[in-house]
Formats: sequence, C-alpha cells, structure tokens
Amino acid sequence: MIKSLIKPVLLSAALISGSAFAADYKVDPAHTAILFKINHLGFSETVVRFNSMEGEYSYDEKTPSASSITVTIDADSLDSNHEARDKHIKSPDFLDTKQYPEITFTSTGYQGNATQGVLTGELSLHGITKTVDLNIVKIGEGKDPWGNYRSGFNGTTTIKRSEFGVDQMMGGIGDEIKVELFIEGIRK
Amino acid sequence: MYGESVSPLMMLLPIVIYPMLAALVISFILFKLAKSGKVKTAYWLAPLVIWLAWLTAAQGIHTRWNFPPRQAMDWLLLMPLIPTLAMRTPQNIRMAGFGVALVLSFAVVAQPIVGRMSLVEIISHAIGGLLVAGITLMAAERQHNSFRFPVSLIVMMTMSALVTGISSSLSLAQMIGGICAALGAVWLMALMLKTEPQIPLLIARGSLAVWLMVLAYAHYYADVSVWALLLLALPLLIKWPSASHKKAKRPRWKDLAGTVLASVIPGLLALWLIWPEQPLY
Repeated sequence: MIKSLIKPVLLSAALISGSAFAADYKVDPAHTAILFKINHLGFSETVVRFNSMEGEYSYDEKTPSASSITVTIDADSLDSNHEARDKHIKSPDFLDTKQYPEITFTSTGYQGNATQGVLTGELSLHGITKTVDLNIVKIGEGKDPWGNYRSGFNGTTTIKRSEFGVDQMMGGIGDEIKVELFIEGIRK
Repeated sequence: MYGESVSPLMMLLPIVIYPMLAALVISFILFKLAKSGKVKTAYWLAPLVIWLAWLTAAQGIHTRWNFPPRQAMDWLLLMPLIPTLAMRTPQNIRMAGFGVALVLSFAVVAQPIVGRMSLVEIISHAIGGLLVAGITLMAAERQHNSFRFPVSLIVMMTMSALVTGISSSLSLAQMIGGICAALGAVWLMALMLKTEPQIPLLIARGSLAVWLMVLAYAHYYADVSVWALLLLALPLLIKWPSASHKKAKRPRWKDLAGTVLASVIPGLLALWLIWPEQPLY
C-alpha cells in the first residue's frame, strides 16, 4: 500500500523539481532593446532601435537546449533619432511597416551551455522568413528588490537586408545589418 | 540624400527613358490607328496608353515584381487597369463608375491596411476616395485644351513626385516620375503629329487613374500628407480655355508659361507644407 503511494509521489516531486529549472519569462520591454546598426556611405554606422516589442522566453539552466524565445517587434516603433529618416525607413522603400507591421523571431534550437551559445531561429522581416543564428550571452539572473525573479541576456547577429527584400540604396547604405538584442525577462 | 554612387543613366532609364519610349511607340500606333479611321478602337485604347507605358517604369523601379501579385506594390502595378477602363463607361454613370472602380481597386492594393481598419474607418475612407475620384474625373472631362491640360498635369505630377520624395518614399516619387515622362512623350508626339485633340485628351485622362492610385499608395503606405496631395492637385479644377491660341494668335510659349505658373504654385505651397523641420539627411 505504502509502496504504491510512494511511486506517484516521487514522480510528481521529480516533475515539479524539473519544471523549476525550465522557467518561463515574459520580456520586460522597459529593460529590453533591439538595435540595428547599418553602414552609412562607408563612413560610419547608423544606429536604429525599436522602442516597442513583446515576447516570452523559456530558460532551462539544466538543459539549455530546451531554451526557447519568441519576440514580436512593432516595426513602426523604429527610432533612428531623426524623424524624417524614420519616416523614410518605415516607407515602402525599406521596411514597409504599413504592409509588414511586425518583425518576429521564433527560436527553433539552441546549442551551447547555460551562459552562452548559439540560438537558431526564424526571423520574419519585410514579409520574408529566414533562419538566423543569434550569439547569446547570459548576463545574470536573480531576485530584484521587489521580489520578482529576473534574467537577462545579450544577443548579436548579422543579416543581409537584401535577403529580406530590402534592397533600395545599396550603393550608399550597407547591405549588412548588425543586430544587437538586449533582453531582460521577469519570471512568470 | 545618401550620395549613393549609382550612375545617373541607370537611374534615368526606368524613370524617364523606358516610359517615354513606350509611350512614344504606343501613342504613335494609336494616332495612326485614329487617322486610318479606326477611331472607336483608338478611343477605347487611349486611356490605357499611360498605364502601359508606366508599367515599363514601374517594373524597373519595383524590381521584385511578382506575378501573381504577393505584395501591395505588385498589386499597385496591375490595379490601375480597372479605373482606367472604367473611364470608358457610358457618360451618365462614368463619374460613379470611375469612383467605385478606383476605390475598389485601391482597396485590393491596400488589403493589409484595410484589414486593420474598423468599419467606420473603411466607410469614411471610401467616401473620401469616391469624392476625390469623382471630382477629378469631372474636372478632367471639362477639359478641351489638349495643349495646356497635359502640361498642367505634368507640372502637378512633378510637384507630387517632389512632395512624395521629400516626405518619405523615393521609389514612389520615381513611380510618379514615370507617369510624367510617359505623359510628356504623348504630349510631344501629339504636337509633332498635329493630331486631333480628342485622343491626347483621353490619354491624359487615363493618366489620372494611374496617378491617383500612386498618390493613394503614397498616402496610405508612406504617410505622405493627404492635404499636401490635395493642395497640389487643385489646378485640376482650372478649366483651360480651348485652343484660344489659334484665334488670339498668342505665341504658344505664353500659354505654356501661364499653364506652368498656375499649376506650380499650389505645388510649391504643398512642398512648404511637408518640408521637414530637421535638415535632410
């Protein structure tokens, strides 16, 4: 009788402890930023950021390969610190944000350890979806002063805008876009 | 803006050379058709001239054109055909027919935006579109001067290209440039061949369908101010006196200068309206 009770209790305990490691986080937009850097005439890099995004991620310290993330960026929230240029980048010449209002990234796999690795996923930009690899570095995790549990990561990748159908002004503006992701999440 | 190193010829080819050549060839055939007695066929084909010529420009600017259409810009290339054909509907329903055709055609082009609109927004935008299209066609049908009306249109189109380019989208400005080039070629051809005014006037009216579609695209997809676009199109309401130069023996350059001046002033005001506060980058 006792034996038959012990087995399910142990199984449940194992499941509960397992799920404690695979924590789900909601992206905190106030502490998350996505930057695009693009070459300008070969002289410098122009930095563009997106001010509005939402997403969720799952971080499993014990089995990092089970980690995953989904981020949706409001393409219209683009900010290059120059209003006229923002309007131009949002226009059909570049991102065409009226037609493609969202940029999304959904991970499909992770290779690496608990602190750094490569997150592979599907990036949808300008109506075209391509597989990209994000180099991820864990910055830290722990309780904040208000009792929430947080974790944070940085990610970098380089994409070619022409591969996403954004190919205007290739002479003056670089094809390669360096993407930098600074993400912080609050455990649900 | 960015000082990119693209040769001027490569830029001019799709915007000016292709549509001009296409318009010259098509309008020449059409004028010859009309002269050979096939007037009815020429009348039916005339509104299509600018759309056909403009397609050569548009496919050179929108290089990722798909058929069947996948993006809004793909649809933009095809849909002006419907309001252009609607210009040949019977006189008593032409204004409404053109308005409905233009609004419905643009709704196809603007599917992603229409899909996010509420019913009230859709109705109000449709009413606005019907009004603009109806008034435009009514104003165009009053015109009988095949020398001054196309010139006035070309000036307005040029100003709208500048407004669109400075507001946000260079590719749409280039698309409008293509319409200008095509209409300019037809105007020159009509002058050289000394054709009867009806066919050039019909061709000029046909250009309005393409122009309105591109302007609507510029407003909805590139946030170009609708007020600036309406302002620069005000000279459409001017009824140019019909071929008065023959009676008054006025030199044509005076007519030309007067037409350009009257048509450019609202465009300059529109430019002032949209001029960015920050310096161009």
